[in-house]
Amino acid sequence: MAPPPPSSPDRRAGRTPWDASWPPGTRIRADGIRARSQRGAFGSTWWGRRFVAAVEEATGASRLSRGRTYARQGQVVSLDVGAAGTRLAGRVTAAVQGSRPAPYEVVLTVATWDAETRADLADALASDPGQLAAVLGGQLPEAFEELCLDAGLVLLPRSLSDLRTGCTCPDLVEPCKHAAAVVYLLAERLDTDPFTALQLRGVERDVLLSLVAERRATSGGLEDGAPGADEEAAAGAVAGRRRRDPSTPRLLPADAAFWRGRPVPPPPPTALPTGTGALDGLDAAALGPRGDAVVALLRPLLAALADGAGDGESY
Amino acid sequence: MLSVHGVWARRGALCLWAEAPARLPLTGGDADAVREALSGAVPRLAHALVARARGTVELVLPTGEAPPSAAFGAHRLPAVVLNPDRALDVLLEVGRTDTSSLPWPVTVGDDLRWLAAVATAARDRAAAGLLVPGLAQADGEWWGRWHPLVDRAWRRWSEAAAAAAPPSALAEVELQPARGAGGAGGQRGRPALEVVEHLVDEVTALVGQHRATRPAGAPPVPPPAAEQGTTASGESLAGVVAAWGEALRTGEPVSAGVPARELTDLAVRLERWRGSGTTQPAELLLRVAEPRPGHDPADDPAGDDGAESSDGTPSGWSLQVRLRSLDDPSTVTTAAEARRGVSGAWGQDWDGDLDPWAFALAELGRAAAVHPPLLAELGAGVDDDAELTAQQVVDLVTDGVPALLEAGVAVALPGRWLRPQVGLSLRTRSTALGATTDVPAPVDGPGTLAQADLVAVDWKVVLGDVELDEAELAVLAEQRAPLVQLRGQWVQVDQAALARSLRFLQRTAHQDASLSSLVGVLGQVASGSLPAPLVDLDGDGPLGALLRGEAETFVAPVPPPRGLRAVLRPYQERGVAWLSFLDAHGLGGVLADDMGLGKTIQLLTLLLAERERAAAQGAGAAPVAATLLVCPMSVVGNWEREAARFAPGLRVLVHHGPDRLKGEALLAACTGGGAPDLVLTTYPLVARDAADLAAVGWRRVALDEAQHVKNLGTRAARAVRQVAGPPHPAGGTQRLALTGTPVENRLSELHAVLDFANPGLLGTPTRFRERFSVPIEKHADERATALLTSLSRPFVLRRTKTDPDVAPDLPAKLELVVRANLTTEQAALYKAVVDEMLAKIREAEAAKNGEQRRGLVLATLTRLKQVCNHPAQLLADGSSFLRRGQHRSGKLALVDDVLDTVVADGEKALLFTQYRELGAMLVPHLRERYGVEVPFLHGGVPRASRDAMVEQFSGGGAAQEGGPPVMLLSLRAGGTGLNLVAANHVVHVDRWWNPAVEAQATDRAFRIGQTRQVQVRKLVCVGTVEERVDELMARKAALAASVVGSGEGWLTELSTADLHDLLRLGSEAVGD
Repeated sequence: MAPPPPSSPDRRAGRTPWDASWPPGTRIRADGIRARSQRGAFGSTWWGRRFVAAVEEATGASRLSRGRTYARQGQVVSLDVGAAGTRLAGRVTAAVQGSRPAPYEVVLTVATWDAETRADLADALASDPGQLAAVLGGQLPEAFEELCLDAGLVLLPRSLSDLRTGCTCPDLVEPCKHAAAVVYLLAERLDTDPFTALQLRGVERDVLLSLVAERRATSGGLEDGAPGADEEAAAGAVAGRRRRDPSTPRLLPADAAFWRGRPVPPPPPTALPTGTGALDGLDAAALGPRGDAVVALLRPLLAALADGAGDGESY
Repeated sequence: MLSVHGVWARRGALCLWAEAPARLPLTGGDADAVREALSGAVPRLAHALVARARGTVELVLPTGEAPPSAAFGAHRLPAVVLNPDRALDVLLEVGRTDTSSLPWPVTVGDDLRWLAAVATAARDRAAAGLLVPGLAQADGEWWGRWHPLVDRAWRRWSEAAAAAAPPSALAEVELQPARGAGGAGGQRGRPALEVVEHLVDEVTALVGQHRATRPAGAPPVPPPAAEQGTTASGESLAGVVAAWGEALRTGEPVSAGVPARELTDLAVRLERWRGSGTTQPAELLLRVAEPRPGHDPADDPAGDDGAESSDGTPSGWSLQVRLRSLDDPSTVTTAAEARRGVSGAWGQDWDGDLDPWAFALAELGRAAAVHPPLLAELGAGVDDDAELTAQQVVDLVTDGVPALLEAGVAVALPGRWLRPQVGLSLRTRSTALGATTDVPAPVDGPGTLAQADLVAVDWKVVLGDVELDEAELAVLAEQRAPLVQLRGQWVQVDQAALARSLRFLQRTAHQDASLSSLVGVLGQVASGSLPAPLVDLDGDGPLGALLRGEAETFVAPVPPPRGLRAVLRPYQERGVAWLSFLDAHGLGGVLADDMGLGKTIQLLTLLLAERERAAAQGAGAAPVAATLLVCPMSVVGNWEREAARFAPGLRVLVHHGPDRLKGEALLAACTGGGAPDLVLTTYPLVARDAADLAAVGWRRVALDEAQHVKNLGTRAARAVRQVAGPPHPAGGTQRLALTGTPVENRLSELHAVLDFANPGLLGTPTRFRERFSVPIEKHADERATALLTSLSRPFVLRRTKTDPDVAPDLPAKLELVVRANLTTEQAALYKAVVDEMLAKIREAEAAKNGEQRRGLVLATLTRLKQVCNHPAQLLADGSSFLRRGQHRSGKLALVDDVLDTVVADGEKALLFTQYRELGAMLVPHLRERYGVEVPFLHGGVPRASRDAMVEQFSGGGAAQEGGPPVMLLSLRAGGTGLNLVAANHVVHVDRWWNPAVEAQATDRAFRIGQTRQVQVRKLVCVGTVEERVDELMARKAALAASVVGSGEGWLTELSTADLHDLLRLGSEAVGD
């Protein structure tokens, strides 16, 4: 990094608020998300690089360079890809620690697809479901993007107009180094999980799977001529499977049956197979990178809970 | 009559209400009556009915008019409202009471009983530990909260319990005045499953918290390890996790210091974790299906023309995508079948989050992540079975399956799937042909071989543990398919290796070869030029025993030669037989017995035996040519003396010194009649005189202390090969190596020694490094180790002192007089001292000064012994210990050789000298050589330091562990009293000629507590007074006891002429 120019009152006076490079090197260190890439370029896959390219075309080398440094040194303290089906769909929100005590808020925005568009995608995928399996398996075939384009859908950003950036820092130039850092990290996430690109467009994994499954069943004649389900039904089906409560509650009988129930069946046995714990069936990876350690921590607590015959009377 | 009902209200409370006209809570006389009637059977319920927890509950109830009219009315009823903790007491009490037979005046409604049953099940489950901790925000603070562990069984039970709910339990509704009760669609109740989950969640949270924060008296829950900030894996966890763990344990809110963002983040992750349990009723199963029985691989073009690999041709193999029930793993269906409900329990009963087809597709994606070719193989989707080529099947099984299984994807392979290694086995057979008799008796017993015998060398190809006959191999190789059926099993073979092996076999399958060319065959193995790894090496008779490394115990014993002046121990007899066996078959060998087991005498016996055998053949037999023995300079004299002592019949020529024979003279002396039997020379001289020595047709070239040629680049290493001539000429020169330490530091040393004995056996140095040194030394490769063992063991005989076959034959104490040669520097000094002193003695004699003469004699002895130890000890000039890296003392070079072996074996030695200045010279030398400080116990060491030295040397009591490997002691200070049984080697560097004193010193190690054989070496220099006095004492044992026993005084009484004979420098003294 070049040494700071000699400080003269004139220069200070002439400093513009968007000149985020001044004064240099005063950022507060943070221990956030660290990029896997520690040198060279970001985005090891062609689809990850598309996100990087959209930003790199639009801003200067120095901001990009500082953005890479931020990404590598953990200045990005949080990064969330908005869940499809929520108001955050199509948005990546991140907090980046800069030179001020409070982290800057960075928002990346892409246009989400509407339900009709998503149905078109499902139509296309139903004829080639292997493409969807590939994406779920961590590979985005180029044919997948072509399939989207054939359906009139833009999956990956072609330029910054497809990926808007915003940041609360004083730099008036967009994208700033904070936004660049977020994009670099987003590219790394895309490298390992290309479905993130679909999630950004407002596509929910399980809903898409169900839509494709319904269409596949219909076209393949697997079911008796049921019309292709629309997304609402598919979402309902997913939600319904997930929560067995009839979202349309039962009608109450007005006769004597109103008062009568049936015996509750005996509960499932509580004994676990020897040598297994209650938490073994859960995916510790969901707890984060050190999930196993957390579970190991909990195990003695659980064991202590389970033994001891309780306190007789109550619970 | 009081009818009590209950609903679990949305606000998380149990509302008890009663049918009109009663109102809860009861008051007045009703309360008294209920209290009286029920406090015995259901005290908590009775108490609740009269409690002051007044409230209301909003319900829709049938109006009692006939259906189907709008028969519901909304009611706000007075009720007893119980918070979860009190509610749970009541519900559990109801749950365990038979409420159908309560004494008047109370009946309990089905709704309350249903809630009680659900609550009881939830309590039991939580009490069994089936709960999951979480983090929840309430009242502006964060709390640890316990949730039920929801697996499929529990979810099913929840649904069943919900289905059993009486509608009255679902009648609590939010009254919406705008809508009016009873719309056109009829009255709908609260979703039953929602009620169940709500109640279970509350009960679990209560039970979990109660048990995690047990009151005093109950066994305390151990504080989580997080309090130390670390886990079992040693990682430190973020403070937020520790704070959460503490909150779970105490029931207090999470301490305020933890940042809210971290807590929010943790709560999200915990919730995701809680929901991550397996909820699918099935798993993806990738099934590799073998061709149907009707499918004959021979129908495939590839099976017939064999010109191309079978890529691209239908093989009949297929890859099937299936779902396998987790509840009943025998139920396997396609996704489409599961969807249609074809297979019984599934279909509409499929209770996964995802539709079965979508689930299968998502799982396929997961599988493709670890084995990307999968999707290409499957084509468009999950519905159709994919035809696989045989190569695809092989790739899938070879590369894909391990990765898929690792990732938790189930893969089913055809029942018996073998992936055997292609290997070669080598069998040797002795053939009846050519059983000549030119090698007589010792090895000519039944089942033995003679050198000219032909051996049949049979190569076979082995697939796994199946040895293929030639026809099978031809069929397999012809198919050129990676998958073949062999004896009813599907076998995946490396076709390339199979084809190479077939070609190799056609070339070399059944060779009749002389045995010595076996080394060449084995050399192929070592150099890796075989088409497939050697997996078995065996043969019949003695040859098989040799290959198995058992020859020592198998070959015919050699009868002890008449000329041998010693009795061999049994293991030595076996060693001689082994050497003789190798010799008879033109093979070289490495005799690698431990130091002290008698390698010298075994070689001498071999020489005697072959000469007596030749003599027995009569005059017609050609005389046996001489054996050349190359050894370090320091032990030439020892060889000479040992030969004279044990095999006096052998003619020994020592090839050394400036007067040694050269050129034609040497050739003439070593051949023809009257030629010596044994020629001794040194490594430096063999390098210098290589051409002359090579001209002699040696019977045998033997290297003693063969580790001296471990560096192949040295002149000596090249010279010994040159002198030994080309390997294995007919009736040619046998190559032997003797060493106590075949591998001192690196495997390459074994290669060097074995490659001398049997050139080419272990391949070139470079190949050896690639195939053995690096894999074994760097990676502890077991297969490389096993191969090296099977290649080297026929040709290396190594017995250790602790071998069960050897140990019983060993004496507890082995005393050896070991002879060292002088260096030329020592010899010159020695001669000068003798000349000078004898002159002075004669003067004193002439002057009739007996006292002066006696003093001069004793001084002479001392000075000569100093010369024998080290020139610098005599000169006392502080000159260097070594000169240009070479020893200035032959004796101390020998000490180094002995100590090297001791250290390499992990044993310890005591070094006794009578001269403190010699000890002082040795200390820095030994420190440098062995990298440890060597203690030196002498008269000037204070008592406390002596004790410390002994303690340190003994390794704090545990012999052999720790402590320096060598201890120096002065004979006077260290000769008595000490217990040093950590050592089992004793070296007397110089002599006092007092057997009692030496024995006493020896007994520092040879005493009670010693568990190993003790080897005692008394060093003397060849051709010097040391050796002569030693022989004198040995010859005249009686004299030694009376006269000599008193020390050196008797020497002064010798005549000057006798003294001269005793002191003079023998011509044999100098080694180099």
